[in-house]
Formats: sequence, structure tokens, C-alpha cells
Amino acid sequence: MHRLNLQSCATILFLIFVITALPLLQGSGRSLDTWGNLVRFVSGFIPPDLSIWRTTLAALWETIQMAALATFFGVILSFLLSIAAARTLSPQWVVTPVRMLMNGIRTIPSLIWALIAVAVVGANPLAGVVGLTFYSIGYLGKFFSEAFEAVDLEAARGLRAIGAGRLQTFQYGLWPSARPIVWSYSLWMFEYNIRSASIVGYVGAGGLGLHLLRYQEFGQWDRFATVLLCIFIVVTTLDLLSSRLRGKMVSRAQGDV
Amino acid sequence: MKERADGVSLVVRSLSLRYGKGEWLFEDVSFTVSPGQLMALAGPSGSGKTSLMRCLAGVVEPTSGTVRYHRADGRALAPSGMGSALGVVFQNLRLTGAATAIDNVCFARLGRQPFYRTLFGFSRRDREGAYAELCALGLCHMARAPISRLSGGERQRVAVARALFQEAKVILADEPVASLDRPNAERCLACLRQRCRRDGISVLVVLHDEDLIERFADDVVRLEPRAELSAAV
Repeated sequence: MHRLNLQSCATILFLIFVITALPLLQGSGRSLDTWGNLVRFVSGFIPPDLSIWRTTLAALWETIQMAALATFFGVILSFLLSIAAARTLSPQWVVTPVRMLMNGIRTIPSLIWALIAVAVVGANPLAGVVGLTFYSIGYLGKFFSEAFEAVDLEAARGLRAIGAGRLQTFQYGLWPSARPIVWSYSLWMFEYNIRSASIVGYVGAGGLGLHLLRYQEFGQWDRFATVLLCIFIVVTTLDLLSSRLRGKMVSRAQGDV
Repeated sequence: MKERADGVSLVVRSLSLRYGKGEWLFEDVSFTVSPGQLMALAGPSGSGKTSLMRCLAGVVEPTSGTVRYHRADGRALAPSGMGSALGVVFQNLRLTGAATAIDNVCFARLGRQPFYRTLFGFSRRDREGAYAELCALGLCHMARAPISRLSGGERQRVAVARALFQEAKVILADEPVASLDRPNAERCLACLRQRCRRDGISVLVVLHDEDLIERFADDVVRLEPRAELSAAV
């Protein structure tokens, strides 16, 4: 007899939930020419209208700029917040509220952050930067603080015993071990932000998304396809590059002795 | 053996440590290490050597007895008051794994400099001094390697180099030569003893090898195995 452990209970509950959700698959209930719709829609993409490459590249450049700025500000702010959120570095009364703040930030999707930013600073690339900065803080703050908590404190204790100050102890006892992880998460965030930045334009925050929205509104699917292709190439290239770079960084990450 | 005016002697009186309310790790230990003296601490494994060293370093509070560092001006300090004047080589070494050997030795000077001096690294003088300490222990070629790439014995020597570079008045070393081969163990102890004599440092080293104790130590404190101790109580 199989033991009913937590895992199998959860699986059964999930399956029951899936069954109760099945009526959703009916859709609108009308009989539509689904296949025909798909073919018609996709055939609009082909061939992509490459004549707009100049404006697309300009928008791509703006997208990358937005992502770079958002990552830059995000990393700096997260770094400070993560020290406050690391149990090994800060007192509990600081850790708890900072963590709650970061959790709160994380629950809001990047598109909503962009929407809020557009409402505050207007529909321009600045909104994208502001929105993605907040989004980055939610994730990086968590990752950085976990990276700091994972460092063995023996080395830091040793430095304190020698008489090193707090900042010196952090810089030389803790940071060297956390650095590769912090770098690799920052790089991941940059990659992620480029992906997000190409969509936040949909709510008016600049970059490629703005073009996507326009082409969609006017049904210019061949141009829409060019932008998608452009995003695809950039994201794939970046993915390859950064995963290789991150692999190198992390393989150089070492524990303390 | 000349006593220097700024030497600090380690005075241990009736020191005992008990694990909670249970057994005694060591009982009623008394000895003195004077400036310029290299004292060995010996005893079978489990006799409380490491616990004793941790008491002396101020990491653990003894159950009874006192640890005092007597300065030449007559003041007696507790371990916590020693700061960078107390150099400790712990068994787990406490090195920063991701930093280079030379950086780890440079860290010895952190206590003597304000943070803005060390924010962008160490001065050329510090780096040269640290390099010289590493070379004296036969680690010239490893100076720029991160600690994580060094062997256990090499790490031990980096930790000793750091304690020496700290310009401490008292050095406590818990088995600093345990992972070293014979020639390197001798070189390491010779280095410690030379500095002990030259700079009037009080040195206490946990050693197992009777031959090394005979050759390098001026005196030896022996801890009894715990079984005998509890039998005597």
C-alpha cells in the first residue's frame, strides 16, 4: 500500500482542481473556425516587413537603455536593502519590515509597475526605467540578502576579532564570497529587464512595446512580426551569453575556510 | 631571552571549563607565557586543548578561573580588551576563501586602519610586508592564488602569516602545523620562534609531535586526558 504522504496528497488535490476547471475549455461555446483563424492570423506575419528595421533598431536600443538604467538603479537600491534584509547582518526589527516591503514589491508584476510609473511620470521611457527599477528591487533584494546569509560568518568573525570595523569586515570577510552570486543575479536581472522592457511599452512606457502596440492597433502584423523577431534574436543571444558568463562566475565562487 | 618593554605576558590562573552542567573539559589549569617565550600546549585528543585556546582568545567564557594579559605598564587585560594585540590562529583558520592569500594576510592590518584607508585595497607597504611573511613560510608562489585553491597545509601557513603580520603581542595558535609535512612544520615553527624572540611576543602553540615540542618550545603545558581527570575527581 502506498503511503499517503504530503506530495501525493498535493498531487491528488491538484488533479481534482484541474477536473473542476475543465468547463473553462468550452470557450465561448460557439463553433468557430479555430484552425482557419490561426492560419489567417499567422499568415499575416509572413513575410515580416523588414523595411522598418531602422525604427525597430532605434526602439531596441531604447529598450536596452531602459533595461540597463533600471538594472543599475535596481542593483544599487537592492544592495542597500538586502543588507537590511539579511538576518545575519541586521537586527530582526529591521529585517522583518524590509522583507515585507520587498515581498510586497515582488507581488506586483512588471507591467503593473510600468502602469503605475506611467501614471506618475507620464508616457515616456522614464516610466519604463522607474517601473522596472521597482520590479528589480523586489527580486534582487531577496536574492542578494539570501546570498549574504549563505556566507559562512567565521571569516568575518575572525576579522572582527582582529579589530576590523563593520565596513571592513563586510568588505573583506563577507563580500568576496557573496560577490560572484551578486554579480550573476545582477546579470540575470539585466537579461530579464530587457525582456520586460520590450513589453512595458504596451502601457506607454517606451521601447519596443510601444511599436508592438501601434502595429497591433493598425493590424500591421508583418511589422509586428519584425519586432517579435528582433526581440527573439536579442533575448536568445543574451540568454546564451549571460548563461555562459554566469556559469563562469559561479564556478569561481568559493566557500570560506 | 630579553624581555621587551612593550611585551605582554599571558597569565592563566586556575582555569576550568565545564560543558553545561556536565563533564569538565579541563580543570584547574595554571601557567604563564612571558614575552619572548614559546610555550607548547600538549595533551591527547579530547583533553580540551581547543576549548582552552578558545577561552584564552575570549571566544568562550571559562566556568571559573582567570585569563589575563599583563602589559608592561602593569595593567592586566581580559581577552576582549586585547583587540589587534592578540593574534589567533584558530583550528578552522577563519580565512576568507574567495580572497587571495596575500589579501588574507593584509587583513591583519584592518584593525589598525580606518575604513576609508582600506576601501580601495591595501597600501603598497602592507602588500609588500604581507608578501614577505608568505615568503618566509614558503608560500611566495601562492601569494596571488585564492585561498580556496590552496591545500590544507598552505592555508594553515597563510593563517600563521596573518597572525605574524598582525604585529600582535601575544599569538595563540591551535595546531598550526597539523596538516604540514615535516620540513614545512619546522620552517613554520622556526619562523614563529624567531619572531617570538626578536619582537618579544608571547606565543602559545598547540603541538602534538614530541620531537617538535622538544626542539622548538621553551616549555610545555600538558593537559591530562579527561578519563583520568574524572577518575581523580
